[in-house]
Amino acid sequence: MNKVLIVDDSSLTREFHKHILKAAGFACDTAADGMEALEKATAEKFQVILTDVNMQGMDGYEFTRRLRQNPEYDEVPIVIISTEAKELDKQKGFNAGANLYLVKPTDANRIVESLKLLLGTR
Amino acid sequence: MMTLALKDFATIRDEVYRKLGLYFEDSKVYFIQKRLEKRMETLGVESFADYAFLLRFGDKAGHEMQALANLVTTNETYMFREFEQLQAFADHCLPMVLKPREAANDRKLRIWSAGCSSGEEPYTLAIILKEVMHDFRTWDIKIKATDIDQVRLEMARRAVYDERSVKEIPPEYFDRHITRLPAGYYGIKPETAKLVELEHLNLSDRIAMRAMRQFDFIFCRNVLIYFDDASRKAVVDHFYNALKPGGFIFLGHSESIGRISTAFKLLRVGQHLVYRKELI
Amino acid sequence: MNTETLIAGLALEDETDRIYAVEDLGYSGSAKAIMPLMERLAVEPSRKVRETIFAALERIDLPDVRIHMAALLDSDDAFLRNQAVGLLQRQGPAAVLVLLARMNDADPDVRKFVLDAAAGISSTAVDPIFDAALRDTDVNVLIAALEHLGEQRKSRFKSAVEGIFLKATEPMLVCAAFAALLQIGDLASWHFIRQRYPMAASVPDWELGWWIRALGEFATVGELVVFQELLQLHDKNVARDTIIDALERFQGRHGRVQISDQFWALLRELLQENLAPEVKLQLLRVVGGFAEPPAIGDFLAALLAQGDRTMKLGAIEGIKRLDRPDLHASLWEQSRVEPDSEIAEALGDGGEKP
Repeated sequence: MNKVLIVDDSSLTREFHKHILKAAGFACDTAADGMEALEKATAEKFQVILTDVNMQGMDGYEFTRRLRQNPEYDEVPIVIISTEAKELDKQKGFNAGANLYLVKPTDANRIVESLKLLLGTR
Repeated sequence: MMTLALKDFATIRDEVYRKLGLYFEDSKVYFIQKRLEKRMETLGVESFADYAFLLRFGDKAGHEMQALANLVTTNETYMFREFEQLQAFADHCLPMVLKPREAANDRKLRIWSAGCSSGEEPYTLAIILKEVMHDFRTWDIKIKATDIDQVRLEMARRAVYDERSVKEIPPEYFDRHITRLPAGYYGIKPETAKLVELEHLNLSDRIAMRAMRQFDFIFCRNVLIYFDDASRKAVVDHFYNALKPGGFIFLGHSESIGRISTAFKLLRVGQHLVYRKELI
Repeated sequence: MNTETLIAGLALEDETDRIYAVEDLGYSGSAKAIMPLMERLAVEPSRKVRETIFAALERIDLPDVRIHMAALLDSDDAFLRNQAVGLLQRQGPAAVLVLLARMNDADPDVRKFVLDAAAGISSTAVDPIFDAALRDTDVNVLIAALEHLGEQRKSRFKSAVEGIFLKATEPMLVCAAFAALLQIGDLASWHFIRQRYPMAASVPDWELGWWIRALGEFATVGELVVFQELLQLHDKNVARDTIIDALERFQGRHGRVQISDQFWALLRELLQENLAPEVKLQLLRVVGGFAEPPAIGDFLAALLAQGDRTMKLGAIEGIKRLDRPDLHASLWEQSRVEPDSEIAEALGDGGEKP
């Protein structure tokens, strides 16, 4: 079973995404900021990451950058999901090492399909 | 009947992690829930939901958070506490620091045991260094052990302990470093104890903290959780300055630096997560 | 050291020296330090020094600092934005004016950051910000407002939230309104919820968790049967732990109620499922909170004798909730001979009334 780490400072959002992804057959864990996420991702291997950008402490770009420095996460898909929709923000996401940038609120099916596509599982 | 919803317990867990950097391990959940229940009874709070609300919005001075910290942690101290973490230090982190020093012929090692209490931790570190560093006589080693409590420091100076404090010392190390004393007491041998330099220090004393520089390792385990948000941050910021580049900081194994600072690098060492100041 | 020297220190080569200069400027509390610190922020390469600058500005604690922080809310740099939000959160009611001014910004992202900052300020002083947010045209601003006002239990917004709940179509917005109603709603809100979703089958998958929680929060005694219906829905992805949480909340509000034999059978089945230990334990505690059938007491007593550790602890919790003085007495008896200290402690507390 694929395990996803859901990173967002909003507990509502974490729960919403957790609900959707569990229903789609993913095992889930969550983190409320970049450092907690980095700790969880370092302690345990996740198959896919879904992260917000704007969080206290370490933001999503910084988290993505640092996670990519861990060789275990070279190939792991990282999806950024943020309220910010500007091209500049998306570019920052890709520069940090994300595979995909979704804008909130994103349709549940789209999130699930995107993760499955990135994992090569349909 | 009290409502002890797991979702609200998760909120409490998150809030404690955020404010104290303390993570509730799964194995301790029942224990913590029971303690919480009793605390709630005392306060007249009927649900985890209400307690979570109290912690987040009704605890401006942080007193309830501190009460909670005292409730869920054990204050006991003994030698070789958190053994696996010490193993990670000895087997992985220590060589990472020593190797380049050796290569540069800069054989100096400085360790700080911050909040050393009655001395069990610094003497444990002294034993470990003497046991794992095969050429330790060629090194200039000092373990600085500080605490705010003069009574505990005096106990540390005497370096005499009861059975409880020494029972976790690996048997093969025991006789090399411990002297059996009358009436069931044990003393640290002077040859080992002399690596430790004891000093009175208040971690919140800015001037005194700035004098602490050039450390390779800082141990501050199960100390920071008793500080409020702002003070904890100030202490960790001082620790950053006190470390040499490449130096490590060890907190208690369920503690996290969390939101205090993102400047430390996170490393996995065996089953442990450790924080390191960037090498230049 | 005087302010001028410290300001010069911001450009020193050694990182630690710059950190000390920044810290000392913070402790000086001097208004003259604010601009130099902001200017240094723009060019400082070290992350640690930048973090220290924010800490210093926070310590200076003057209105100018708040103005600068509010300005940073539209920065392109995520680090600066988020530090600014954090600082403003901790300023408390003093930050409200500058935040309220930013609610006029054309950029919805900025307005959302205002809400995030307001989230950390628990005071009626922030209510004007929520008033503005609830009229906002951007769905993310609205969602943030709903989440935060719910967490802070700002019940004066109940009607507005009910209105949003009834009209919303965007799933996350419905969930946000749902979550807020769980915190500030009342029986009237439950009517609106049932109006939109008469039963579990009419609730979209992603909202079901909240609907179940609403059941626990608002359902009348007569609606207990809905829990039974939920448990019978094996084909849906109905999270068991959410149902159990809701049942416990239901019990908390209604006290000891009767359940039917079929319901009791369903709960026994549930215990056989692959639940996490803490969920099993909770279920056993909840089971003890029902008045009938009487078989429950015997079931728990049997578990106490032969169950694994989790089941034992759960059985103890359940027995404590039961109105069975005979079983309570036996708990206490057992505590005196139980070798496991954690179980013994749980047994020993059994004499108290739930």
